[in-house]
Amino acid sequence: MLVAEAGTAGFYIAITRGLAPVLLAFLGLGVDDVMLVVLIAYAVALSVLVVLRGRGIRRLRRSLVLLHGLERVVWGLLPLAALLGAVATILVYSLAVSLATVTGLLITTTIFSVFDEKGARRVIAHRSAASAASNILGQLVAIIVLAAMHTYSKYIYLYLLASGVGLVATAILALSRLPLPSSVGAARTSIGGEEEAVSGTVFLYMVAYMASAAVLAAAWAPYMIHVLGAPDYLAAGLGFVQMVTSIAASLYWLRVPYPVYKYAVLALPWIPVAIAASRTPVLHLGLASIYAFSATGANLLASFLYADLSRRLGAFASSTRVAMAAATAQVVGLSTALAASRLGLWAVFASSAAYAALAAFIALYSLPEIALVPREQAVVHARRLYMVTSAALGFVIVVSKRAIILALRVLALVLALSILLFTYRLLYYLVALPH
Amino acid sequence: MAQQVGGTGLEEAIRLTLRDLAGLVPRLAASVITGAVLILVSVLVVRLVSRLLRLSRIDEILDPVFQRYGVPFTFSSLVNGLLVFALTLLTLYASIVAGFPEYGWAAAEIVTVTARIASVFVMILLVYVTINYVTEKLRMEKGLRGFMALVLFDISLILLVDVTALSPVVKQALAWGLSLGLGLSIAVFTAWYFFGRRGETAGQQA
Repeated sequence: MLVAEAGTAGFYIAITRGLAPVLLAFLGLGVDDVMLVVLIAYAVALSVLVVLRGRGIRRLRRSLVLLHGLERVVWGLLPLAALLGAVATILVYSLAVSLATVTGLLITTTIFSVFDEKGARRVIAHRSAASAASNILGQLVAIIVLAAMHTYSKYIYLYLLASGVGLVATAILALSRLPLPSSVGAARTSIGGEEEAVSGTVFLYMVAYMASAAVLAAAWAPYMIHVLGAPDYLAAGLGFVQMVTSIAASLYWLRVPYPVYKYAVLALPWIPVAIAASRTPVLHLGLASIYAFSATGANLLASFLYADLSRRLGAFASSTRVAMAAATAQVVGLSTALAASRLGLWAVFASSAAYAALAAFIALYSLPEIALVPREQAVVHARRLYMVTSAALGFVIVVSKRAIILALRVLALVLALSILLFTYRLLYYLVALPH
Repeated sequence: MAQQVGGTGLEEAIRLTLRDLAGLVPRLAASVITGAVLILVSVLVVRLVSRLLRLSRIDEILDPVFQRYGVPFTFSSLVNGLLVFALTLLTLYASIVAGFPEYGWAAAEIVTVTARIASVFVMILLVYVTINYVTEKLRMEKGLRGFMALVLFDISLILLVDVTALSPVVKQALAWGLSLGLGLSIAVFTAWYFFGRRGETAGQQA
């Protein structure tokens, strides 16, 4: 049922999330503006996850079906909201991304709570392959409709179609008889021991390689079109090649033992360098294939490790970390891409390579399953890394919290004084103008 | 005959008065409804601003400064007071104009005069705060504080004369007289403050 859900959802995701940047660009937003909108949306999603992490979720089945359906409806409304203006677009897009993140969290929780380690691995890999296959179909439909129609209504048709197909996935979930727990509790902040350290390290690893992927996704297609002068279809082909590769890659990585994953992790930092160095556009299709193969391995490694840890950490705690890592990576990656794009595309690729290298370092230094050092030593490294990061993160959270509170207070004061000023100006014009 | 005419005149007068009053009803209703709606909106706006000011915690920052200068209110109460004042004038103006648009000029005049009176009170308050601060800063004796109160009273009186409905000639004469009195009393006080002891010593020596 979960694989069938992913098989249907891939089509919907290809159109809704895949086309969102194109839709925003169609409305006149520049590359930086699009990145900023996506960044805001993921920052909102991350805040929602932080709140959920502390509260847990009651009535898991009902919440899953409701939020799953609501997410599809909200995504379907995006092109209509875009007609109302920028603020409405940002609001609806942020809501849609937040709902998608929470739905993802609930599905991962479902997988982790229903299946054992082996079963969870199999379901994750098969879902990944099924989603990629239907994603290709979604991309083809999007390309055909976008090419065939020239008015804005093509976006409305596509989003409504995707929303409808997505609701089929909701129906599949609603009809499934998965033995779900009635509710999942708040994530425990500290359980101590090896699991906590390894889980923290996997989180860091996920954030680093996903941030690298987010930066690369923001720069690759513009680089091909604007710098290498490649035709549009070749740039669009990047996504297609990656999807096709990831179907085969998911099935391959499912069958290999953990130590083999280190090659996927090691290959990742070199790909942004190769992209920046390669001046022949056709070669990029090969690079896209290699990248998708390695990235699928790197992604599945983190998911599998969390699936293994979910027995000891709890299904909700593990899936919350997966979802938070993905949202944090988008925020970190897109902020980096925005900052680096001012220096030039080379800086964007360099930052992508740096994040991937950081992910490789974390994995080979402190992830016991694939570390280059003995297991005991890797666990010690993981603990050390976890402690340093926890302290740094704690500091950043405290500072950010205070900064946000201060900004809100200043905003409240400015608003109060603005109301006062408005009242006096109104009074002045009322008395002064007609007489 | 005369009784009949008087009776007809009274009836006519009552009829006309009632007609006038009946004509006023819709206009009064418009005024009252506008006033009521604006009062409701004003209450909501004041509550919103109070909440925003509480949220900003501006008083926690400014209270020590206000206390240091002897200001007898908080920043929030100042903003709220100004807002209530402006909203009251707005409500008054709007309710007059809604029912009696031909008296718009009178409403504008009321607003202008009220604003002038309010500005005088603000000035008095400012003078009070300043004098209070100077008195505290120089650690003046009880007698000197009395003198400062006299100065404050004089200045307030001059400001009040400005908003009274007296004729310009009387206003000018009063303002001149009060200003001269104020200047003279400051001069006498300054002479006594700086040279009083010298005078006393000279007197004792003599």
